[in-house]
Amino acid sequence: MMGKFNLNNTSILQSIKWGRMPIFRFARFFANFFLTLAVLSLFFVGLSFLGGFQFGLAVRIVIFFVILFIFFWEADLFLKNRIQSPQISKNIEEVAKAPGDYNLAEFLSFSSALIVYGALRYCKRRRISEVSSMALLYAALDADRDINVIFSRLNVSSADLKQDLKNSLEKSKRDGSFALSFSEDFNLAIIDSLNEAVMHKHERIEPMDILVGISKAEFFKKILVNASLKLDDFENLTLWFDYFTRKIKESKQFWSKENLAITGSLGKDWATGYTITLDQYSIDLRREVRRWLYKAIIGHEDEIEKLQAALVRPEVNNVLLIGEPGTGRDSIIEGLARRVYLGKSLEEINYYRVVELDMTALLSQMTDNNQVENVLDRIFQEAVTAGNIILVIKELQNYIGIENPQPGSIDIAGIIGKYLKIQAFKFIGLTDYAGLHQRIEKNSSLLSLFEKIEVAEVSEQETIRILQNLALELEYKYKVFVTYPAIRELVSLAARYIPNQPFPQKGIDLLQDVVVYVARSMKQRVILPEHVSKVISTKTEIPVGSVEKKEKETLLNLEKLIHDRIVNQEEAVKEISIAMRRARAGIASKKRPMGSFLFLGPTGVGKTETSKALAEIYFGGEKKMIRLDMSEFQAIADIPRLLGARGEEGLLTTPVRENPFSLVLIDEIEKAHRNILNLFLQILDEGTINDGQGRKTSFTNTIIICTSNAGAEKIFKATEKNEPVDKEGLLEDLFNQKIFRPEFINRFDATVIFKPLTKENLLAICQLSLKSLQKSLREKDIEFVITEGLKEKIVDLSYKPAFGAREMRRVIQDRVESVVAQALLEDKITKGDKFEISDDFNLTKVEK
Amino acid sequence: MSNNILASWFLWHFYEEPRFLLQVWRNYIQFSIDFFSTPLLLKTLFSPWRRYNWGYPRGFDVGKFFETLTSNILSRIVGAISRFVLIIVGIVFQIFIVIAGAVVFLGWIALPLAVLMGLLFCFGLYSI
Repeated sequence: MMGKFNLNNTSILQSIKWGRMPIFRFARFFANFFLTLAVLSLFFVGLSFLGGFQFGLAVRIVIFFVILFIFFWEADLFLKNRIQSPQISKNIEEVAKAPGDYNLAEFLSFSSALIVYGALRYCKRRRISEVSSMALLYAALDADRDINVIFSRLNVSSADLKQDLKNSLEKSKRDGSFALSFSEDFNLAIIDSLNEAVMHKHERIEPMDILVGISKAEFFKKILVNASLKLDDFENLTLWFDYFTRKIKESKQFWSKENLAITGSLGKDWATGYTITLDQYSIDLRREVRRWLYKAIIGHEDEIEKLQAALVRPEVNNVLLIGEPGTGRDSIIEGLARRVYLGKSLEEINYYRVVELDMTALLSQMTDNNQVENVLDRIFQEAVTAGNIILVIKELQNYIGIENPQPGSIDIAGIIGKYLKIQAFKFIGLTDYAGLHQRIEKNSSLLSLFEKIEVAEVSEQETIRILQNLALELEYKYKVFVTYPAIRELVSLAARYIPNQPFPQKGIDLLQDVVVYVARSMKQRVILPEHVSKVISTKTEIPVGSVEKKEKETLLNLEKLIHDRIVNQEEAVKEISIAMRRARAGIASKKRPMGSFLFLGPTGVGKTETSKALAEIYFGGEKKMIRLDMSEFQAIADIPRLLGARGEEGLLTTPVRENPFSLVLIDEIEKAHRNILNLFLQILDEGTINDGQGRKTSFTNTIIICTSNAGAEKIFKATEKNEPVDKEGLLEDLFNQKIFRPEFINRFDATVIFKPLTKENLLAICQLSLKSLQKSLREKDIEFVITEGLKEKIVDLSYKPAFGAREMRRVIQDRVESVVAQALLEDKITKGDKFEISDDFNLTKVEK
Repeated sequence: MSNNILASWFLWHFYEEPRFLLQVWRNYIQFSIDFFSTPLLLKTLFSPWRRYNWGYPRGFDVGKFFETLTSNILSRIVGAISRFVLIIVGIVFQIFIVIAGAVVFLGWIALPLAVLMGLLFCFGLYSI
């Protein structure tokens, strides 16, 4: 339902008018001015004691200035506390339920009313017949500093935008008289801003709400498109800015309960015990968290709630916080420490000290493990006796289940075990999944004394908010300016190119790297998306910035690029190219691998070579190829070798974790055990698999190619008869022979048949191979002339249809390369020479 | 909101701001109670200082027993003295907060009158 809107006769308009009265406009200036005069006039009082001035008059002058100061000071207070926030008759939540019943102008804040008032005045002055949301944005940019800050964070120039808006407004419909009517998009913007205000629990409609309201207007879409932004970006930024300004405002209210509570409680401390030994080897998190200004724990509220509840349980009140490093485990502890310190946690643990025991410091200072055990025992006793300690040990797995501890390592399971049973001993251990499975789970009695809380990875949206807060600290430290698009780009690229590390840590690390890079090497210290791309490219060795453009070019020319290396196999190459284009055009699921293919065909026909070509074209080199031969994985017992196990890295998962942008070549897939094929079903379908240590390995940035010789005979027969290979029939045979199952084959983007090579193909391949030798010799300034006779002789010697082109490599090595090597060593050919090799493999110089 | 600025000021100065000052006053009183935690100090007045407590020896050893007893009594005495001092400091501080709050509160209420009297004094229409 459309709301009414009329600024006339509203109390907020009255406030604006009062606010423009000189007494209020200049109140702060006069207050400061008269305070200065009052202080200076004390000089007359001093002078009067020396007889240079009449005492009574001096006092009167001082009092006069003090009175004027008080008058203007109170006027300023009255302006801020009363005039600028007049009381409203209704809660805006109720208003939002039936906006049509109210004049929405009544619910504007003072700053918002100034914006609307500015828009009205502008339209009236320029005789624009209707006040539109565009005029509202123009006025907002003119009146509100915060809105300008928002646009600068979005890397949009406020001045340019204002000029564009002005030009567009000048072209609006003009009328002789200004009728004070509002356009439809203006009304919609006001309704949206009302809903926005309700959502953010504002008392009134604030400028940020109006801005979000305007952002949904049609004309604003163009602004967003020009700046490569989405509506979500805009809402995220305003939401964060709103939070940030609120926190800054709250921090200035020194009289508020929360700010007073920062001092802590001396009385409660005196009622608890000393922890002399613990203090030597620990970090009291109270010191870390007491001065937080705008820092907040984002995305882990659930975990903190669970942690608090677990710590006050009557029986087991020890917690094992399980999560991969970088998921925010430390932040959860800090969040708990902050709540506990301010007395905002549960009654039973309010005002406790959250203390992190620094095991590394402890172990580095003592070589004798008995001594360490004694100190630990004393520390745990102190924690119990003090009565206000929540003890934290990070990476607990490093101190549990250690066999044959050496100096610098210790197994504390025995010592801590007896304390964990004591109710007054509150303990939090941090570990990861590998540590849990490999060490802690082995000690089931110890594990039973913990409540396990799993830490989930924060979302991309939450990471953006965390990075926005961090950016402020980094901006201050390195004197740079981090734009919002840079942060958004960072999170999006990190999610894509560094999939095997968790958020938020990878985002935090990257942001720090980008800031340092810009601070050191850029003149203009503004962080833009391209700086992020540059740093990620360096880090991952992937040309990130140009990836989209480059990938488009690659995909469009894929056939040609593959054929630069591969002879024949037109159909196969075409099929691969079509499948890759389909998979990468954004239609296919982003969760699955970039491409997945099954190459069927006899040996030596170019299956591996095609894979190498694809690795080079797509990932920039053959070194980005992870190759596994499935003949080594024919039993269930081979699965741990493939996926890893306790203390063992997986031959498939670890290289993919380390190089997520790779081509995975699985040779002789038909030889793999059925259960191993099932694992590939999951990889092809979901794009991820958990390794033997419980870590998620993502295959979404890999191309998976499985090769197989199965069905080679049928392919040969078809080729001999010069008939096309019946792919459906071939696959049917493979299903009947139970070599593959239909559900396995269906998971691939394409099943590609490679045909045997003909003599003509081999001649072309021979030419390619000899050209490679020719190229190497040319670098030595030696010219190698390839003759037809030589090529034919090589093909004659190596032509065995069952082995394809594989034999040719051997023949070239044995007969050609060895002859050239011998001649080079004997100085028969030197720099500047030209030679050829005859069909009986004799090297002869050719005159130039 | 009344269109009369004077009425609006009157309402703000004599109702809204005093209400705000009372809230701030309450926050400070609450803070001083939390900071000194006087009830807790009273409850634990005779507890050992910083929970220093020694276990009595097993078996019959009068010397050791009295040594421990003396130490424990001493710990309680130190605890009681320290807490008593803190309780006194706390009470004094709380009295100060109450008085300071009252002065600010009443001072604010009386501010217009003080300004008026100051003006009269400046122009010689009123003398102290």
